[in-house]
Parts: sequence; C-alpha cells; structure tokens
Amino acid sequence: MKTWLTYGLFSKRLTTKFPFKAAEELPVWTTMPVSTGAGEAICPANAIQDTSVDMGMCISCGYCSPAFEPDGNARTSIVHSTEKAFRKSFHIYLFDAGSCGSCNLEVKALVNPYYDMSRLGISFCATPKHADALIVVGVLAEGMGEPLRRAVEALPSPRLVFAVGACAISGGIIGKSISGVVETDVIVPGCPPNPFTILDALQRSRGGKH
Amino acid sequence: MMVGEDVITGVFDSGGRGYEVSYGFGIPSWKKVADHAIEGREDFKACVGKYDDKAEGADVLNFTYGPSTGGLTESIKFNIYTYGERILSLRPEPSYKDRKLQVSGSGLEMANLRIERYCGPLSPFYSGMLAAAVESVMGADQDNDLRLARVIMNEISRISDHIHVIAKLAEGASQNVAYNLLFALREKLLRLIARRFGHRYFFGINGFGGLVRSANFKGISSEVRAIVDEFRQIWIRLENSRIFIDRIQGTATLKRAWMVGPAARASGTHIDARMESSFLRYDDLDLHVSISSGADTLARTLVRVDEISESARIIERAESMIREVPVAGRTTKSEVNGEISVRAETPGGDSLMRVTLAKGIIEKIYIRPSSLQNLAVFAYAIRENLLTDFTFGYEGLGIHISELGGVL
Repeated sequence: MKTWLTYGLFSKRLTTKFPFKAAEELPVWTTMPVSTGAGEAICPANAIQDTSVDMGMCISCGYCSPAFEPDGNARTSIVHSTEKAFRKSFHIYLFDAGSCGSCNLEVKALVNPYYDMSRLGISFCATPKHADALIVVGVLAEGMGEPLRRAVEALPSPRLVFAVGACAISGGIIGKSISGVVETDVIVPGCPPNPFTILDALQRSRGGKH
Repeated sequence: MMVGEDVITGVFDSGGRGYEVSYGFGIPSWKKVADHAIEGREDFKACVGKYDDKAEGADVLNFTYGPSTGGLTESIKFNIYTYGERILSLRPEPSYKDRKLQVSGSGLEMANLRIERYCGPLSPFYSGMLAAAVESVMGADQDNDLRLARVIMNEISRISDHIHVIAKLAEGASQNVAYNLLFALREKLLRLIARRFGHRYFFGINGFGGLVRSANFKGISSEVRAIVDEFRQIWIRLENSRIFIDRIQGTATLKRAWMVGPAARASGTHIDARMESSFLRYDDLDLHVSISSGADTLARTLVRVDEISESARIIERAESMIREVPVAGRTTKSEVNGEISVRAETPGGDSLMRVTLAKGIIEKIYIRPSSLQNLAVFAYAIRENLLTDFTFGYEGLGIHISELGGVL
C-alpha cells in the first residue's frame, strides 16, 4: 500500500488556474441570469425588473428560465473599495450571521485542492483580531447582531467587509440583510455564490491580478 | 414491540395547554399530553433542546466557546465546565443564529424555497419531505419515477455529508493528506450535482408532483461509484492510521434509546427511517442498514463509511429502475386542507416534519431535525472526555446548526 505521501503525490493534479485562466466548471445557476426574450419570467425573490436582474436579491432558484438563462460568468461580485496592502498576504475570517450552512461550505471550499486559495496568499484565521477581511454569510439573525458588531470592531485597519450570498446582501427570501449593522466593501451575490465567484471577489478586492 | 416505541421523538408545544407528543420511530402519530411530568424526561429534553448541564465544585472552571470562532463552521455557543483537562459538563446554545424561518402563511412555492434554505446542505431531504406532505394531502399518488429521483438526490446528498464529516475528523487529527483528498472528493461530488441538477445544493429542483427542471440521471450511478471507490482507497489508509483511530476510538461514547441516525446505529440500534417511511419507500431497493456496537465516534464513523457504499448501491439500483421523471409547474394552485406528518432519514438521522395546510397555504409547520437529537448526544457523550476530544465528539455527529433554528 502506498504511503500518504506517495498516494497524495501521485493523485491527479486538481488545482484550478483561476483567476489567471477561465473557471473550468461553473455551476450555472449561481451566475447572472440574462433575458432571452422567451416569455414572462417568474421571480419569487422579486429580483427581476423588466429585463434587468438585481443579483443582490437573486436566490439562484432558476424559476426565471427560459425567460432568463444564466450567463456562465463567474464575475458577479461588486467591489466598492479595494485595499492593496493585502496583495501579498490576505487573512480572512468567516462570520456566520444566520446562514443555511451552504454559503459557509462554499467559502470553506476555497481551501480544498481544487481552489487552494493559499497559492494566492489567502488564508483563514481564527479570530477577527488577526483578520484583514470579514466574510459575512447569512441573514442577520437577532442573536448575531451584537457578535457581528464586535467582530467588526475587532478588525484591525486597513480592513474589508464582504457580504457573501443573497441573504447577507439583501436578506433574500429569509430575513434581514446585514446592512443595518455594518457597511460592506464587497458584495458577492449568489445563493450560495460558487467558490470561483468568491475567489474572484477576494482577488479583485486587493487589486490583484485576475 | 418496535425499537423505541415509547420514546418521545417529537414535541409540539400547544401553547400552555400541554404538548402534543410523537412517540416511536414508525409512521408518526401524535398524542395530547397534559402531564408536565414528561418535561423531566431526557428524550423530551432532547426534542426541545434542554440539557442538565451544571457542574459545580472547587476548581471547576466554566468558560464559553463561540458563538463565532475559527474552529466552528456555523455559529453556536458552548458553555463548558471543566476540571483540569476533563469536561464535566457542557451546555450548547444554538439560538444565536436562529433565523426564525417564516414558512407558515406562505404559499406552496415560497414555502418550498424557504424550506430548501432551512438547511442548505440537506435541502433535498427537507424540500422532499414538504413536497411529499403536500402531495399526500392533495391525495395524489406518488409517481414511482419521482420517488426514485428523490431517492437518488437524497443518497447523493448523504454521501456528500458523510464524506464531509469524515474529512472534518481527519482535519481534527491533522491527517492533512486525507483531509485534503476527502474535501476534494466532496468538491467532485458537488460538481457532479451541479452538472446534472443545475445547482450544487439541489436548490430549485424539488417541486410538487415532479421536479421543477429536468435532471440528467443517465449514467449518474457510475460517476457516483467512481467517487465512492476513490473514497474507499482513502479510507483504507485512514483506518490504518493509529493517529487517526486513537483520536476517535472511545471518544464521546453514548447509548440511549432516543438517539437517531448513525449515532443510534453505532450503538447497535436497528433504526432507519428509510425502512419505515411511507412517503419515500425503499422497499424495492433492498436497503441494508449498517450497524456497529462501540457507540463512540469510531463506531459512528464506521457506520457512515458503510452507508457511503450502501448509498452508491441504492443509486445504481434506482437508476436502473427510473424511466421518465415528471416535470412540475413552477406554480401550484391548490385549495386543499389537511394535516400530515412525514419522516426522512437525513445523514444525521431521523427528522420529523408536521405540516398543516389550509386552503393551499401552509398554516402551521413543525420540524424536529436530527441535529437536535445529535446535539443532545454530544452534550451528554462529551462528559468525562478531555478538551482535546471536543472536535472529534462534535464533528463525528455531523450536526448542522441551521437545522436547530425555529420554523414559524
């Protein structure tokens, strides 16, 4: 039996070249739906007005198809401010304000060998005190308002705050967004956003190559 | 007598007039109980999330862990009472991230979309339960192909969740090659789900009377089988690692009649809602229920390892039987009234849902998720273990905190 080391070494290379090359395999229903002109769209989240889609409200349910179809582009995030100080080393802290659990897993997926965010100098840290950015997922649950405030206060400067997923950005179809407690620098739409989109947002927020 | 026939498995608070209680693990039926003496029972407390936790005495140190900390993927607070390195007692407080998910008063489509987001990683289970409950109240015969489609989605989700649990245990034991390979395997599975169902977590797929969009089932079992075979290769190495086995053997041992899922089966109890479910039958799929006897984290892991292979076999059988899955409309107009309780065997175990419909609107909904029982298992099982066992006791139960929030 091969040892762990040889087994690991001889396993097929999995890591993506994204963001320097295109994403290999995007889950379509996390990207921006665009109008096809084929009939009337149903949108339970009220994200569609005429032919435009508010991605902050889109819950990636696919109910708008065939009037709208996803464009397959990973870049759906909106970066309001960037911080170049994080170009070489970027420590992020995941904060769950009241999620269904899937945004958490998509953010955590960035460490698996397919995405391996450490190759870009990005890593998780165990406390907001050591973090450059707070990655907030989920709606604002009543009990998480105060912990969120305290986590933001604990962040050293310079810092960035990300709202990841429709729940954090707009409340989606579940509850309140986090906007009443904290101002966000980057929004990453999707329900949940796929890891490529999250990685793209992280990279752009620090003015990195993409 | 069936296993756990007198065990309380669900508690519906009737608002000061006592409780409606579901007993046993079979097809759910509810009894009114005005006697508040049941509040002292451990199985009752497990269903409502209360625990006997206080430990006092000289040199007992009480500290909190959470609600948000790097070691936890979801927000929850633990009050931990220790003497030296030993955990004397522990009280979980999962209410911090309670979203108070509003489902009652919703039309069927909105209720379905919200229930999918009750616990994202387990969405096919809960949306499938809601859909089956509504279909049953409507009096519709369940389409056999739809049943098989739901079985396939649930079993893929079970494999994904079990791999995640084992990966977290490997991470805790610093088995970094294993944990990276296992997380990669789970990613491979999520990509398969996205290719075939359009969404990595099955959102927007389960409808009433059919699937909302068409899914590609052809050849799915061979793709799943390849992933499971790869998993077996990793597991063979992991089970030969003394470092890994030492961390989970004898950790968080507990045997109780009210336990569900892998925790119950790891203590020798032969229960599995898939054998009993009236809405999602497995009787033509030759389900083999995995049993172990150690009642510790190792035994729970062995049950999960067995279940991964069993799920792959079930998917193969279901794919060979599936023909054409009906496609449901995105809106369902119905004026039906009625009440029904349904069960499903989620990866964490038996989950119970009770739904009341009035004129096609969800009037009331109650869910007793498997994570509620598993959190109680953790609270009791971690006693007399060391602080360093915390990760293995907790992660080995596959608890989803989002499941512990209220559904209104």
